[in-house]
Amino acid sequence: MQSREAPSSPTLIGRKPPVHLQVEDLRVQYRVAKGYLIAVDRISFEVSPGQTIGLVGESGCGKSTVGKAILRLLPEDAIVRGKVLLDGDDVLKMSDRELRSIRWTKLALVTQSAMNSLDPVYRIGDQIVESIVAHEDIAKAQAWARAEELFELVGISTERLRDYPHQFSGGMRQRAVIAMALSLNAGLLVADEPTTALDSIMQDQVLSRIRELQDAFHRSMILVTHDIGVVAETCQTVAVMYAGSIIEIGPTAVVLAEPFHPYTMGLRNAFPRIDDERHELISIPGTLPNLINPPQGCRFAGRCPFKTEHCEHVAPPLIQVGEGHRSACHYPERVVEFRARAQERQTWNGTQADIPTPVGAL
Amino acid sequence: MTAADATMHQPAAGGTAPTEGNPDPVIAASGLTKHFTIGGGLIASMLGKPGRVVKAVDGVDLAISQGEVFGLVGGSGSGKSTLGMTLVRLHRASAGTIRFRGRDVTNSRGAELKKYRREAQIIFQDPYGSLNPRLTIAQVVEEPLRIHGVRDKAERALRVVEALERVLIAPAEYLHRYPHELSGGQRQRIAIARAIVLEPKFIVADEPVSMLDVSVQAGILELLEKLSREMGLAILYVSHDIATVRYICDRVAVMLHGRIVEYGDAREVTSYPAHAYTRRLMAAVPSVDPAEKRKRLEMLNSLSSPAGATAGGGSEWIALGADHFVRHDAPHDVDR
Amino acid sequence: MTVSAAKSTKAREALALWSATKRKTIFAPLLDTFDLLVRDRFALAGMIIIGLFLLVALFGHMIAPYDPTQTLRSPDGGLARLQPPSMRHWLGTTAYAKDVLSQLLVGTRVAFIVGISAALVVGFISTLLGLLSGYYGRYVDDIIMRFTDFAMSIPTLPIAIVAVAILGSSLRNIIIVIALLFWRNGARIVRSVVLTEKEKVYVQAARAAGASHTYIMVTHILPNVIPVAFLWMTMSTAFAILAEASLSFLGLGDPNTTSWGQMLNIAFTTGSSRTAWWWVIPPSLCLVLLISSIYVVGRAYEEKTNPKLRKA
Repeated sequence: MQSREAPSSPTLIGRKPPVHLQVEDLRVQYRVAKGYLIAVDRISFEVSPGQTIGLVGESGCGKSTVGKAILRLLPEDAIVRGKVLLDGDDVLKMSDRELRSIRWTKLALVTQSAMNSLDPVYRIGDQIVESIVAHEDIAKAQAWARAEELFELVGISTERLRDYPHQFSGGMRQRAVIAMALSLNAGLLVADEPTTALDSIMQDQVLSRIRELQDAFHRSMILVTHDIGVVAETCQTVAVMYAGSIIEIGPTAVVLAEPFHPYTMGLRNAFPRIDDERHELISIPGTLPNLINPPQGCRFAGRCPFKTEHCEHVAPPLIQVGEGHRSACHYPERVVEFRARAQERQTWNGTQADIPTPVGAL
Repeated sequence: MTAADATMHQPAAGGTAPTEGNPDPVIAASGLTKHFTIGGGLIASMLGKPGRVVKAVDGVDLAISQGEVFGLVGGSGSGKSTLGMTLVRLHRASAGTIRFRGRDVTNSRGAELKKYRREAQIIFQDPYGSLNPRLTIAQVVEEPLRIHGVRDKAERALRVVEALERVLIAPAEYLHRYPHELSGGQRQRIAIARAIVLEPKFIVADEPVSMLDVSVQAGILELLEKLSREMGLAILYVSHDIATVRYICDRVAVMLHGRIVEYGDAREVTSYPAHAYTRRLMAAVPSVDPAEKRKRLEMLNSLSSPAGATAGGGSEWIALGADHFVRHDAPHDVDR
Repeated sequence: MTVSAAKSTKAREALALWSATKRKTIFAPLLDTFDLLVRDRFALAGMIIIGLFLLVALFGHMIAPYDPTQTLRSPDGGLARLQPPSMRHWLGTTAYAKDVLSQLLVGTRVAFIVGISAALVVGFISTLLGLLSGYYGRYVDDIIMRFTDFAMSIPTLPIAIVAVAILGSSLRNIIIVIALLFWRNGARIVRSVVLTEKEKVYVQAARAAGASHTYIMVTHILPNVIPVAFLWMTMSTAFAILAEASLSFLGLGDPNTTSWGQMLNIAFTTGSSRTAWWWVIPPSLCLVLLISSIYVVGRAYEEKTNPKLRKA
């Protein structure tokens, strides 16, 4: 419960400069039997040096796809358009060699399943050291010292560096992978559900350590998750995604305290609040719309308790609703009424329950 | 909860084990223990290396009444899932007893065990793995009926349809579908339908929402609570997230290293956590409102420790209220 | 409406909904992959070849121009020995004045009988042992696996030779001997699939619902075992045909049947192998063609069912 001091050792000081990321009009589609499945539909956002942005949304909204698109890790049949400018260079147009030079050094990735991608025949310490030495010109001993510090950071005793992956529990492996991702001090870390496999205490530990690192060394981070609690604790900015688009974006504290989009209001309702006794858990009925040849109007209209005819025909653009705060809803002027009604359970009962949309469309 | 309220809670003398004071529980465990041996095996034992014993569950007492939702909270490795699986006899207890409506089912076998299995069911954490991908939803939900010899096709059809309606899945739309066509939340509802189709008396819900999106969790939790009320089910709700406990649990127990360290009325325990580990769990819960979280952390830091209290009569439990007990042992280091 | 009447209407509705559902049979995975297989050109070629051979196996004796065992005479009255291919004998004759083509056609049937019978026996034994071993684990697994290890340490062909020599060389014995040697790997393969399936959560769920071991094995585990067992059986067919040919070639074949290996055996033992190419090449070619085709189809099938082997 007391915060630890940020590590100040020489091995961890970010020698790499912070990076600036600009995503412009990113689109990702897949060709399927019935047409085109639009996973990501014109997303734009910016990550300044030292900024942490959270991409929040339910499963299938496209948030993971965005993370993978930025790192060029999508499968070959993905059709990607738009620009991803890393310090001005478009990642989407880079050659394999250029990509290799920026991966791990400028960009790093931690995924949910990363803990299963550790090589079982090598010791964890060796794997971390190997990745450090492959990208940086430092001695093995120094790399090992850095690995030790990182393990301390994620709360694993350093003697475990000599163990093999199968000797770690799932939670420990995930933390080891996070340590590995941080080992090269990449300017931008993309973390895709990094703490989902961990229990609440471990999650709390890992998130606060990541936060300390970000603050101390001015690293940027894109945190992809379905859990707005995680975002609230770690990110300064949040982008709420729904069905492939960003429907609200702004400073986290503001967006969560004063949401403009009904979906954000719904997400807030669904989040368990241990501090507020009177809070009722309300879930948003229904599921994501069909992403193949998606509907004309607002994608959320099917599940929105405040929808109108207009919403079903015209897709709302992202408009400014506050300082650095944008929302994609046609009725920002009615937000006070929406917020009040959204807190009542019966508001959400009227919407369509269980639309039978086959989810396994890919 | 305020600091003033917390200090009003003075520990009282004496205490009761979690099973006492519960007149007619549906399921009761007494001294339940489950050990696993790692390594070992015939040759290794002969060579003098008999393998390590891991005490996943180490002497647990528990009692759940009809219609009660009992929360079991702990971190990974606490033994909570093992306890749940042992109660439904997916593991064989190493020691202790399990009584189901008065009958000792700890070591039942054959027909007796099958009879117990009809009345005690389990919902697993993984909605993606708990349904056989080759079976239709209809086949998945009817399986328990077939296992227990319900031969009449019409009756099976009826009960499956009723079970699906109870979990708010439209039968006409989903009976013929396969699991991969459903979302995680929908699959978990199917798993619940499968668990209730035999109209059991006791269900273990093993982290039923941990692998689901937060936005979907509320629906499932609400469903469990509704079923408990409508069907009079006793539910053991196992979770690592103490935040969800308050919404559906009547009582809660906190587990650490295979033992229960604190238990009682859910509101009481979450409002005035006494054991260091419970407080740790409460502190770890993320919050959308930083101001609220700060207040919560201050509150937790300011709570008085119960260690100075006396436990009367040699009991290991300190009573902090009518239904709030904490284990009396030296506040050990909870760091792993 | 009374409660029970309402219930029975509901039951009828439920049943109607129920009947509308379609379920997959236990063999569905095989049928699905059949579609995929047809699209692979090599596999398709293989299947066509096997199909042609199968037709010959079934109808060979009807289209054969002569009785394969009949000693034939040439138009000038003498025995038609070692005659090169001509209009009367498309593939010529053997040293014993028998028609090569007829022997070839009839030999196809022997190949299939041996191949398929051996494969069925192998499949049955492998599946049974692999299932029991993998599912029950511990002692049962130990015993069966140690036995399998022991069996695997026995070299295939030498033992086959000895066994047939002892038991007598009838077609039935040959099939039995081959089957008893090929189940070893099959059992291991099935066992490893069973071990994976056993840990699946839906198996645990079935156990918790009170399912018996038999029920779990048949409903949940077997469907995933069948494709693997089928693959092993396919490969075993190829190996069995080759083994029979080898045994026959070495002179241990069933003297009452005409098989390709048998033909080669007689060709070699009469010293005609260098000169009578029409006698040696056709059976060799048939063996190569049939065995390769089976193997190619088997490999394609494996690739289709095992996603890791697929080229992205």
